[in-house]
This record gives sequence, structure tokens and C-alpha cells, in this order.
Amino acid sequence: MKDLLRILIAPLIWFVAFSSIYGLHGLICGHGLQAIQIGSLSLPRPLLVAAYLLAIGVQMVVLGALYSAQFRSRSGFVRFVSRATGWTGLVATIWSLLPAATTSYCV
Amino acid sequence: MSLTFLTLFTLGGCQGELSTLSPAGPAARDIATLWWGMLVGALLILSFVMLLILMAFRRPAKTADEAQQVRVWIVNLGLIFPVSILLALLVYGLVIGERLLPRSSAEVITVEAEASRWSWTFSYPDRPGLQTQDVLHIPAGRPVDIEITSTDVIHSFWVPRVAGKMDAVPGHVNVLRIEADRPGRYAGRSAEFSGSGYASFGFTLIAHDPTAWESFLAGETG
Repeated sequence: MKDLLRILIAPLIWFVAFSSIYGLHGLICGHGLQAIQIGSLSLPRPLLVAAYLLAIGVQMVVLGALYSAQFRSRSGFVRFVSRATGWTGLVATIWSLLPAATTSYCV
Repeated sequence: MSLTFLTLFTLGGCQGELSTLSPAGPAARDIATLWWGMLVGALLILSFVMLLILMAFRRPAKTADEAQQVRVWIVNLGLIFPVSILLALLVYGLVIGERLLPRSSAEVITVEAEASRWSWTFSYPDRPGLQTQDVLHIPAGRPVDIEITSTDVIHSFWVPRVAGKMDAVPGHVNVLRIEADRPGRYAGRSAEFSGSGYASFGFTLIAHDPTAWESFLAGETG
């Protein structure tokens, strides 16, 4: 069971992060939050960038754990697969959420 | 090589009033440039892969060690090469996407487009009360925001030589920025199948020079 979790954890985090950040994007535009300013900066940009960096940070922590002696699997096969899915989750998070964090919103 | 010629030969048919490869506005030009870039890139990659396949039939002079094989075929060609291509496409796509967005500007003119099976009705806030059926009038050389909606099912506004497409959704307004370089007539279509009358579900975009546009707004033409 723990091995299954090791293999699936990073893709699951990507799934949650993807839904959350694009959902946040929808809430910002749907509720007019883009009009709120923090200094010279509009509120949505720091919110979206913070959520993006948080998602990447969580994936990096998970990947680190999959390489650590404390959390890694005793099975060589599971170690290999879980690290591969860990890297996949990290790259997918960076890649698929980049547009939400960096491009124009609510246009 | 024959594939390249075949592709270029086939592309010879990509002219005409509905051709995205014959752009007549900045948005369509950006999209066409991306398409040409992707075509050239795809042909280069295909040629490279074909070369690798040919090389696979040749007996190597000496067998490389396994670590080197993994580095060359799995890491470099299997991961780094496709990721680099996809990254370049992602960045280029995002840059073009930003350029196509309808940003507010004093230069911009707005026209409302309402689709219903199977005709388009265009309204002009600059000339209240005027509506045109299946003919869209815009000024040439100026950005125009088309506010697109539908009264029944989902349609799609598309003038291939001038800009990309945008869905017409019932109860919702989508905005598409278009611009025609020069005065002229351009063909438009709905790019979403909508039933038995779809075959004739088109419209004409007429781009006017400044004098003709002023005349149109003044009600002298139209």
C-alpha cells in the first residue's frame, strides 16, 4: 500500500495543483478580484505565482523524500518507478501551470 | 526528399479565400508563421528520424558501451531532444497567444456578432440601430474587437485570412481581436457544425478604407 502511494503521490499532487490553480484563476476572474491592488501590483498575479511556487515546492519535497533513506522503498523496482513518477509530477507541475502563473488573466 | 516535394506540391492548393496560409492581417500572419515554423520543424525531425532508421540497418564498426548507448539514445535523443522542441513550441505559443489578446486601446473599434442557425447578425455600437445580415463591415488597418455570442447552439466565428476562430456560445460573450491589412472582401465561416443549413452558413467581411468607413458610419453606404 505504501509503495502504491510512493508511485502515485507526485501525479496526484499535480492533479490537485492543476485543478486548484486553474480553479483559483476562474474564481479571480469570476468574482472580479483582478481589480484589487497591492501597491502597484494587481492581487491575482502574486496569488497565482505564490500558488505556482507552492505547488513546485511540494513536488520538490516529495521528490526529495522519494530519494531519502527514510521514505524510499525497499524494492528496487518501486524506487525506480516512484522516482520516475516523482520527476514526471515535478515537470508536469512546472510545465502545465506556467501559463496560469505567467500569462495575462481575465482578458 | 520526395516527401518534402510532395508536401510543397500539396501546399500549392492552399491558396484562396479561406486559406490560413494566405494571411491578410497581423493575427492571421502570426498564426501562419507558427504553422510554417511547425511544418519546417516537423519535416526536419522526420528527416532526422528517417536517417536514424536507415542507420539502424548498417552494422556498427564497433559496439559502444551500454552507458554511452543510454546517454545518447535515451537521455539525449529520447528526453532532452523532444523536451527542447516542446519547450520552444510552448514559449512561442504563449508569446503569440499574448499578442492575439484583445487589449483595450483608443484605436479599437467594437462590433457585435450574433450567430443563429444559420445566419450572422452584426451590430455597430458606433452607429446605433444599424444591423447587417451576413456582411461584417470593419475599417482596414485598425484593430477591431468582435463581441461574439449565439442565440441557439454553439457556433464559431472564423475569417481564416484575417484571424483565428472564436466560439459563439449562447448566454456568453467572447471577444476576438481582428484586423485586416488592406481594404477588400474576405470570406468568413462558422467553424462549428450546426445542422442541415451549415453548408451555406457563411458571411463576408468587408474592410473599408478610412473614407468608406466614415461613409458607412454616416449611413451613406451599407
